[in-house]
Amino acid sequence: MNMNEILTIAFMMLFVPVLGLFFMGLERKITARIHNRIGPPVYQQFVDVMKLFSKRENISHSWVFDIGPIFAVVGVLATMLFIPMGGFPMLSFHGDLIVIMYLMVISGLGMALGAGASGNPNAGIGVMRSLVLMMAYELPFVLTLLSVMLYYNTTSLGEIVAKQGETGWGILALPLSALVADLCLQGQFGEKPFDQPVAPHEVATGPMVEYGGKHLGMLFLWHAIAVVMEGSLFVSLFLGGAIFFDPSTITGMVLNLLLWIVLVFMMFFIAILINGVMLRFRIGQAFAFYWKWPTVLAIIALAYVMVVSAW
Amino acid sequence: MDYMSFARPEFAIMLLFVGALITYFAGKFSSVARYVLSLAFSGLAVVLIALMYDKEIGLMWTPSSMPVNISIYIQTNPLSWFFAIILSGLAFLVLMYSIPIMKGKRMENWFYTLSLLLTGSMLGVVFSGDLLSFFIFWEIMTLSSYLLVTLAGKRADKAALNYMIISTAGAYAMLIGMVMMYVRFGTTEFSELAAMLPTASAGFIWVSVGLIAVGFLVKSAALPFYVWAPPAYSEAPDGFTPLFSGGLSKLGPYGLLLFMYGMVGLSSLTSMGTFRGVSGFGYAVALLGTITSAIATLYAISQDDIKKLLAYSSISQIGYILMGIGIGSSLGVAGAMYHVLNHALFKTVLFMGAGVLIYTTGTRKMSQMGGLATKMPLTFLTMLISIFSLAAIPITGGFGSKWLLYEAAIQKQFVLIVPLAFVASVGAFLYSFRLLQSVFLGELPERLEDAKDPSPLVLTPMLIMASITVLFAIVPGIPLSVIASIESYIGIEPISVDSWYSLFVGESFGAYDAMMVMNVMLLAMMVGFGLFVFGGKERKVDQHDTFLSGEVYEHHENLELHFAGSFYRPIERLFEPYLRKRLEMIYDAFGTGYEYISEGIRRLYTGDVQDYVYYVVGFLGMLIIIAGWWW
Repeated sequence: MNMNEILTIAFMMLFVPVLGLFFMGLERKITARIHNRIGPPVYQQFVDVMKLFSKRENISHSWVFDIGPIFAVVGVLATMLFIPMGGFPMLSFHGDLIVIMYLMVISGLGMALGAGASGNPNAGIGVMRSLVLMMAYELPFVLTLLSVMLYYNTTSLGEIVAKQGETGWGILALPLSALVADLCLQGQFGEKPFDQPVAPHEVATGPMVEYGGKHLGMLFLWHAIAVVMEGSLFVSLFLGGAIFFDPSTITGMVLNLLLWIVLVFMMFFIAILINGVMLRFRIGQAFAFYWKWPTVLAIIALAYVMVVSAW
Repeated sequence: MDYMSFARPEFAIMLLFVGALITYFAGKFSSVARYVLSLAFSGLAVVLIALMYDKEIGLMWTPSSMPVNISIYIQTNPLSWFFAIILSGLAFLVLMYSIPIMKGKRMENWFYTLSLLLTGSMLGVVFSGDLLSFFIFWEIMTLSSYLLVTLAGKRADKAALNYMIISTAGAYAMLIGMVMMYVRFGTTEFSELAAMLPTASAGFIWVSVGLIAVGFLVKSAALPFYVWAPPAYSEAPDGFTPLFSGGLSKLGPYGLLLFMYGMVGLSSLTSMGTFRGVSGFGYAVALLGTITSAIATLYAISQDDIKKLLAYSSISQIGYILMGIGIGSSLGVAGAMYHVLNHALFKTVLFMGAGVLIYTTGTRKMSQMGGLATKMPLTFLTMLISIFSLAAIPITGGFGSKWLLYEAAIQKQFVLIVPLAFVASVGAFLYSFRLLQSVFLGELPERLEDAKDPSPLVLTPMLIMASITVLFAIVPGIPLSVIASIESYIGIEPISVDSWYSLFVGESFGAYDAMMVMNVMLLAMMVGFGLFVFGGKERKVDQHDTFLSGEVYEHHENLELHFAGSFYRPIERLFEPYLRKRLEMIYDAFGTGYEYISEGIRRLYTGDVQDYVYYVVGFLGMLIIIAGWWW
């Protein structure tokens, strides 16, 4: 690792949470506009996080309860560093897509652990729903990933980005896979109709129900990083990692970074728009949905890749 | 005398067989002698086997009074050594754990005797160098494990009988295959067979190795034969299940590796027909393993019995091993063998943990436990690490093997196997979290107020294995360099282990830099803990001091609620119509049909002498007619 890489990583570790909180603020604003409300200011999330971290007293049930938010942040930070971001490959040549997929789970399992330790039934229901939802979208998502991996004949995300630089963006070559990946992204973001784990009106924000103070502040950060990370995964897979300008010059680097921010937000924006007008599925319906249409589409996409690569 | 000269495979086997006998008689008089002796014998076996590392020594013995000219070969090679060290190490640790757990249980003395006998016969299986001794040791192993299951008492009888019947069927299939080989080649020795088998026709190999493989698939509980495993694993004594699932089930994969690659050889397997660069035989094994893995996972998700959940999980994980063996590339076999090691480590800890929980709470139902994480922190921690390894979280060893298996399957472009394996793996998150949630998290029932961690004798083996699991996450190269030497021994291109810390596939196909992942995790942990400490101080509250939307918490005397009781109801409801058609039904139908036919045959035996005379006369008449026809 050279100095540049270390600087990039340090920069991204500071920048991504800020960007994510900004996105979350925009989400509240946009949703409010869809609902014909004024909505909170865009910086509301920053105020909230600062308020939560400055609480003088924090409620805790046990040490396992404390581990939850810590692991959520740790897992999502560790995963983030293996995904190409802002036109930089980050550490994506040190761990491929399979490493990323399993690193992504750490934060979820960690939070589930903490939420379960609280002994609140709502938290248990929320955790169950989030695990079931994960199993639901994982099948079409894996089929999609497989089509991308077979098309570019590599499992390394950095390599996939590099190959898109040569042959054009993946969304043009594999439109159907991109569509399925975006459907899965809705579930990964946890936006309606797939917000069953949180479902404020049913299970009182599910896993988060017992958390307050600095614990909740950390969960805010977790969500902020996760939004950017999941968006960036899609951008790396199908939108060429947002590398459009020549990355060897300083202006090109800055322009790429700006383009990346726009593209990641665009992915989030699509999810917000759907979220703004949809109702919530029951968890069983969500499962049946994912294992039906997205899976069929993903299989067609995979068959297409098999035919293309056989030629 | 040089102590190294004792490091011979036949000594290790004899030591355990004789040890079983001595332990039995000594145990009649003193229980302390029984514990000390069984630990000493199994520990000594581990030392002997460790000293055999990287050696190829053996023994040939030709019994003079045999009617046929058959010799017995006992030998060690890299493949046998790898399995022998895992099995003997597990046996030692499990015996140590059993001392408090099995204390005062039914037929305690027999437990130690049979455990030592079982370990000896398992070592016999991996060390034997010819078909005859392989089969004999295999049968001693089946028999002693059957007896060990029955030790649990009357409830286990049916499960044990199921296990025995299906094992026997598998053993008969295996015997037929072996006899076919002996009749064709006139030898039982593995090295001679390895030279001659590739010259045989493809049909002969398919049938003979296929029949032998049935025996191995039975032991590894693969798809059509797995019905014995869930009841046998869950009903067996708590001291035996860790060895049963962690150790004994690995002999199926061992046998497949030995016969498919050690004897038939990769080149003649692939010459029998290939599917996308993988031999047809191997593809069948791989597909069977993956389907087993996916189906067993679905069953595991809906279990409430802790041992049954782990049993289904065990079946599913061995499915992964079969998948790697079937693929047969250097990555696939390395992944399979590495998963053998990982599964031995984590599943043994999990079954030990289950034993501890049953010992503490007095029930196998997870919905009657809860909130034990703070009461039994060390049990929780070791089981958590093992569950991470089971779920292939990159901070544990279990990830390395799953990674290799996935890379192998993706490299071969298996579009059916990869998604199935992934779904099974996500399912593993679901059932392992169910275990965590309902046992360690949630509400602590009042009757478990004074539950506490078990004695050091139980915790030490669990901690040892959990720390090895974490160690392998940092240096996956250490076990893989041993595995690479085995691969070159069985004629598969060895996996390249450039560094102890990182794994790479091809030029730029895939990468898993274990050291980098661990460094990143450490960095992230510093940030995470830093943030946490940066926040204000904490106030601990009671477990019932929770937000319940204004409802007041009440404890109902007659109502036992557990919110992880039927945890995954929403998806169970979706899968129920499919899972209701269980494989057991086919076996049951077969059994009923068999009984019906037998009942019909029984009616012939009327007990009337006149009827018998009619039968005899009728039979003779038929003979005369047939004879007249021919001549």
